[in-house]
Amino acid sequence: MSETLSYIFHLLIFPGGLFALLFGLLLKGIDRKVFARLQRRIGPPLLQPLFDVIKLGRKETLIPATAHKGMFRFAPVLGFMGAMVAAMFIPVPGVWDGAPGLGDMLMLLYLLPIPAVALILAGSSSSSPFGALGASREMILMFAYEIPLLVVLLTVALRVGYATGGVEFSLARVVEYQLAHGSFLLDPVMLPAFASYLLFNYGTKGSVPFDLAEAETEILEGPLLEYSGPSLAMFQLMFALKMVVVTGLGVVLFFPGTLGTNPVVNLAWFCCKATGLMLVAVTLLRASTGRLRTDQTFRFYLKYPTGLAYAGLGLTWILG
Amino acid sequence: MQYLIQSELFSLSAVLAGSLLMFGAHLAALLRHRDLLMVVLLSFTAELGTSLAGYGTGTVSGLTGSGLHLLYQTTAHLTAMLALISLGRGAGSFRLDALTGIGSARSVTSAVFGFAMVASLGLTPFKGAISRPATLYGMVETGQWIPALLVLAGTVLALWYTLKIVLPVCFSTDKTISADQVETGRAPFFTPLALILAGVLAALHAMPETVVHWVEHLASLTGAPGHLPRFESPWPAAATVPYVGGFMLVVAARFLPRTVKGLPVLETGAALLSAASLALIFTAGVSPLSLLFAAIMGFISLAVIVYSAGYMRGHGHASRYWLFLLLMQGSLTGLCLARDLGSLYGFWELMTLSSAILVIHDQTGKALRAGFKYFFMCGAGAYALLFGILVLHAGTGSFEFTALAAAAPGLSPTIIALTGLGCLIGFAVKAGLVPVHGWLPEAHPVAPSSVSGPLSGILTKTGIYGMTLVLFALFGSGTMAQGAPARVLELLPLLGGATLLFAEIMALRQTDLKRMLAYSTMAQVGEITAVLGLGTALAVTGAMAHVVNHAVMKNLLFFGAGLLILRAGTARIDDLKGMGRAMPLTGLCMLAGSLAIMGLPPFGGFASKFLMVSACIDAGRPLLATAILGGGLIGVMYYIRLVRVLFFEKYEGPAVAEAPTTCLIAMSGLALASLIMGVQPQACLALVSPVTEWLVQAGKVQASIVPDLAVTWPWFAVLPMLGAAVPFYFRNNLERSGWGTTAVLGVTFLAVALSFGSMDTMSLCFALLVVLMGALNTVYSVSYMDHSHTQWRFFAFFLVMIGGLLGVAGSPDLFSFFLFWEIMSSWTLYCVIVHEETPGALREGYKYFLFNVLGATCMFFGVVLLGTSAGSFDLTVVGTALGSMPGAAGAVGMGCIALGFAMKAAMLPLRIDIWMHPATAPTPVSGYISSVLLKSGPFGLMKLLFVMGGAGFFAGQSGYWSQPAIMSGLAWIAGITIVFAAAMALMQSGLKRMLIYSTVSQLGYIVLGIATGTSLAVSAGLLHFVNHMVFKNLIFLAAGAIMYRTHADSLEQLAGIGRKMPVTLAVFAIGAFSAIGLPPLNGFTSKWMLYHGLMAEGDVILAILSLGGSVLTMAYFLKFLHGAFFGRPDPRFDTLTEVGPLMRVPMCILAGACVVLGVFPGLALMPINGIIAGLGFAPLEVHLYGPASGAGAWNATAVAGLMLAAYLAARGILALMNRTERETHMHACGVDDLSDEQLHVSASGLYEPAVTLVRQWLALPGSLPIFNRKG
Repeated sequence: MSETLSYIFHLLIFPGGLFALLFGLLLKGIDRKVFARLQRRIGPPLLQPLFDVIKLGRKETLIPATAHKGMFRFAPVLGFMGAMVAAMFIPVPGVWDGAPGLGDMLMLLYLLPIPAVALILAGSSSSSPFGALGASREMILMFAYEIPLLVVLLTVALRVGYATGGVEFSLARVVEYQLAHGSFLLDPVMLPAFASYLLFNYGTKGSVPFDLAEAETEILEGPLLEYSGPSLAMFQLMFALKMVVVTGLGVVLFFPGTLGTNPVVNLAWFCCKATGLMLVAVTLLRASTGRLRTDQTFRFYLKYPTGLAYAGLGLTWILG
Repeated sequence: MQYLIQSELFSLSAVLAGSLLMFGAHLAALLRHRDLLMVVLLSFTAELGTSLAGYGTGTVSGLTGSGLHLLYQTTAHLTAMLALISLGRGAGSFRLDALTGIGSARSVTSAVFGFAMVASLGLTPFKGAISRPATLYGMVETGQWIPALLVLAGTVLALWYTLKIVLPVCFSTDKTISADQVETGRAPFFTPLALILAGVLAALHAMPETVVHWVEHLASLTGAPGHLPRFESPWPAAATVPYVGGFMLVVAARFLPRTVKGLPVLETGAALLSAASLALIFTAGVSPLSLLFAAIMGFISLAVIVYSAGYMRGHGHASRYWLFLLLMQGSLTGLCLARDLGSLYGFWELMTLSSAILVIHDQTGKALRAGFKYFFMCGAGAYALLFGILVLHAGTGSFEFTALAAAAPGLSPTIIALTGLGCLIGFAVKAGLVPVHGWLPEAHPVAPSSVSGPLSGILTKTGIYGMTLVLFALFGSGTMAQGAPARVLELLPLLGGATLLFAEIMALRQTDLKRMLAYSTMAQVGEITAVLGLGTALAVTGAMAHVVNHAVMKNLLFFGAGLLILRAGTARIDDLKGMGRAMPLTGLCMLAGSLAIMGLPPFGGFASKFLMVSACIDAGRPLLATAILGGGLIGVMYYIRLVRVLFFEKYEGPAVAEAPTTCLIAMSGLALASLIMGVQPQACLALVSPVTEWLVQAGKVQASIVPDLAVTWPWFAVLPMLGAAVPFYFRNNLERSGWGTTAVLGVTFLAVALSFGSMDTMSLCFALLVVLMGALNTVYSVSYMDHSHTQWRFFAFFLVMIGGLLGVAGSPDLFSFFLFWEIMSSWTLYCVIVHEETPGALREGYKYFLFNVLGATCMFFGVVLLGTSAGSFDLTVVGTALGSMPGAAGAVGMGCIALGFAMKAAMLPLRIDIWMHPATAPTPVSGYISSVLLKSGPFGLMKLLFVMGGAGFFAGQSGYWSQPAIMSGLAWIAGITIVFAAAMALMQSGLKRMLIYSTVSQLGYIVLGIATGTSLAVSAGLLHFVNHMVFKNLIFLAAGAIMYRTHADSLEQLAGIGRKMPVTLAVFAIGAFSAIGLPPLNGFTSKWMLYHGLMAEGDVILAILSLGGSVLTMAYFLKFLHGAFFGRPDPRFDTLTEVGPLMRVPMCILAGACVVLGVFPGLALMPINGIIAGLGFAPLEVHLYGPASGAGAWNATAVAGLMLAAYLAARGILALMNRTERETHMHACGVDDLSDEQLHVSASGLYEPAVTLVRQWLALPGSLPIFNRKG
């Protein structure tokens, strides 16, 4: 019983739920602030994303008459649900082990696409051609980044597993291994995998230069075009959760080092690293490039991140 | 006088001169055969030469022959001359042209002429003359081979021109001479004189004994050496009764009215005589071989006579027909019952004569030409046979079978080889072997079908009988094994194989039904001959069994074909469209015959084909086995085409009457016989095994193990098969028919559950699932099929198919397993798939059927190879024997079977796009095939690899077949299939086509799991086995619901129907997300375990392939969801409504099962754990919530709970926010003149950028038909 309660706590409060939501919104705020500074603007306050959500929550919802209303309403909930459960599985080194009894990193492989699926369903059910286009692009993007993610995860699993004689999919064990043997970030064998993961980050978060699915200037935010009020707020929350999951996973996979044993310190350290990863993996590039075309993106992903991922896998396989 | 004969010089020169004269004169007659007077004179001269030659031999036999010949020939030629003068005077000319067709005007005289001419060859309907054999014997006896051959050759020439003359004169109807064209009275006394002489001639032939004795006595008075062979022994009663009875019947019928007390005189009399003959056969007390063949002849002849009673009604020349039919039966029976070669030869000639008259019964020009060919070839062949027989007698001094069998081991190889060769030529002509087959495809189409039947079914078998008798019963395979005789024996497989392949290919090319059947006969006889030539006990058994079966099924086919042709008025296959349905009972019999001859159970041909292939393998001739199987594959092509034309094409003619009752009696009797021999192959084996035992006991044939063909028919498999009668009974009411089917399945379910204990857990679980899914789909069909037609047929075949599937599950041995496999995956499946009868359905059904048969053929080979090598078909026995099998038998056998299973599971990346499309089948069937039927492949793999121990076997092998090569090969094929098929699915827009590719892809996961072969992977495979069954059936049923309401078959034709069909959308989404594997739905756990299983084995690439497949799976299902349910709604679908409860309920049950199995994977995993523990794997630790420890452990229930909690949290957050909603117009940037269609992004457009890009990279042309095919 207490185990059940603890799981619910981890889901709703920490590291999923409340914590992830707030941290995710904060990350978004940091991103916007730094992005603005890089463009020599002042930028919004750090908590602007939170204010946006609250404001949206107080507006009414507009639903297109031609939309499939059930799915239109359900999509944001579905995406939120997937992201929230995924957040719970991210270990915070020195604080939370990521519920290894329930599942492992392959679970994330299946939970992470849920927000994307939700976006696709949202775009599709909104009956807007822009939505459909956005959905289509989201799916194409997914082809492009899912395989690199998969291969990177396998690489890490293999790398950790070689020490124990097999493969190791448990994120808790990944953390343990790196705490004992040093971060993979400093392991030359793992560099291609890390590079590939960085590139995956851009794709899955749908930020410039790979923001095909939303592409305000082309298809008016695609799937989100018809969304408003609380529904849109749910999507914003979903994005926030997903940001935490993806950056947190990066931290766990490549540099989960801790500072001592104090959980509060470690939590702060984790947040710092996640923020750093986000700044490198999202903000910098976003501020310095323009959007690529769909085919360019697709081609890019099939060449570089995938190639890098396989190179990493091969390296690990050979040198492991 | 005495001095002269004894002078060697005189002897030599007389024989030589005589034979030269004979040959020369016949040659001259042949060259001048248009002048009939000249022919008669020359022919007489020639026969004088024969007499001279006989005289010259100086032996008793030669002298007797010479004297008799003089007597016979003088009488015959005198008769012929008198009749000819009478005819010639009437017609005013003796030219053949002038006399052609005079038979219609002067029937008696021309008949006398014909009779006399044919009698001069030694052939009469009464009995053959022994004068020519005796003369020839004299020559052979004295070693004068060349004159003997010269005389034979001369006789062949005589046969040629005699037929060339007699047939047109007596029978031609192309050119007829009417009575008033003929002048009568020019020579009034010639005809009566000829008649009187003909009577004398007939008497001389019918009762020759006194004359023969007299002449023989005279000959022996000269003191010549040797003695006259006993050419004839008394006739058996079984032959005499129809023979003499036939004459009496015809005479009696002349004086009786057509019917007496309502019974037609001729027909009833004939049937009684025939039945009496059949009964008398069993009192004859002959060898088992003779008895078997005689019984076949008698039984089929009776069937022919019963059939003819209806079929020949209204045909002309009834007396002649019935007389010769009875004569044919008499001679066939006599031939088989003969105890010596002399009698056999005598009956042989009578058989040829009587059947030839029947062949030309219709007297058309075509018939006469074919009849000529038939008579000439068989007659000439018979002379070769005669030669062989005489040589043998010269070597042994006897014709008696018993004496010959005893003397055989001591004979010189030359005599054996010469005899064998001579006999073989004679028999080969009759059997229709290449290259002496020419008559067969000509004679069959022109003969009345009631004659083509026995011509194919039993007359060709006399050739087989002869070969078996001479080569095995008399000589024995031991004697035939070395030197020259061995080369003769080796001719059999060679000729047989050549005949088989040639004839199958020719049959495939025919457009005429009877010609096709004729070629098919050649092929079947060819394979019988080929197998017979192997000379082992098993080979003889197999060949004999096929003789029995083929006699039954080919007669059945010809009978049916005859009636269809009669009613349709054409024999062109293409013109018989739908005839099977216009004449349902006849059609049904045709169907039984076609299935039987394709070698499909539950009909007779299957078991005997199985035996024959076994015999080939057993004798170490795999190539021959392959030829038989390959030939069978070709056979399947044209027979299934026939089935399609007869049953699944539309009938467009006027209503036709069903066949006459007697025809139906005959046909159903044969069909029943075939069915019985198929259901209990052991029964057929019991018929033929006495023959083999007899041969083995006599030391004539090597003993070999004859496989046990006992089939266990589990009653839960029989139940649905018999239950097929229920939908038929309710055929006028769709609902009753469907509910009846469901009820049958309900009872079957109980039956399966009650037979708990008779099966292993895996089979039991599979059987239960098979029935459950079947029941769901039939309930669904009650509603779905209401737009279709003849629903009962659909339900009936569906039930039989399920029966076959259950049989597969419940079979304890390879033979029954394969038998049920064939029932399930061949004809029942075909009939269900092509149910809609659209051209597309027929085309796809045909392809699918062929593909399945091809797979089954691979299995066939493997099963036989394993069973034969192990000496038993029992699964466990085969398993333990695997290791000790010689050579690569084990590996090849297992490989072939594995290939068969893999093909069933669609694991062939090569061109599956061409083969795997039952998309045109009714949707409940597509769903059933995808979800259940194809699982028989993985199920079989489980049995093969783990029950039979194939996995251990492969692991232990080394060398080229080392590895677990087959398993890892299979795993790679499966891995590639996953991705390839998923990518193909992504390209499709056809509703079902996409789902079918999806099935192929998902089956890849199952096969991959099984082939990986660890506890975890196998469990994963089996779990996916169950999961896929549930979600794929659900998805198909949902797609069916869409098709049912919208009549669309492509995503392109749909848009936004989700709001109109909410239940369908919901269940489809559940099914789709299960297939994608989103937790907590049921596809996740199995895939999850599979990845872990693969990674634990280090199969990283396979893991990536299978995970990559999941992404593609997600993509195509989202495409389906978008294309069909979401997007811009189309006004066309404004009035669309949800489907009825009969379709909703099965879908909801399946959707519920998806969720429940997803949240509590232990429900399926626990039994699976039991299964794999039973197979010797280390069991996993499994709880209700999923695998509990080790790799692949996860808690599905808890994650589902967390998902629920997260969902509630989201709902909670939304509840805190503003809950007002307002409908607006969609934002279109101010453009308001776009139609709904323009605003809908179609399914095929969804991934266009990616597809275009991939296409560019792979340089695939846009016109490639793999993209967005319909259906």
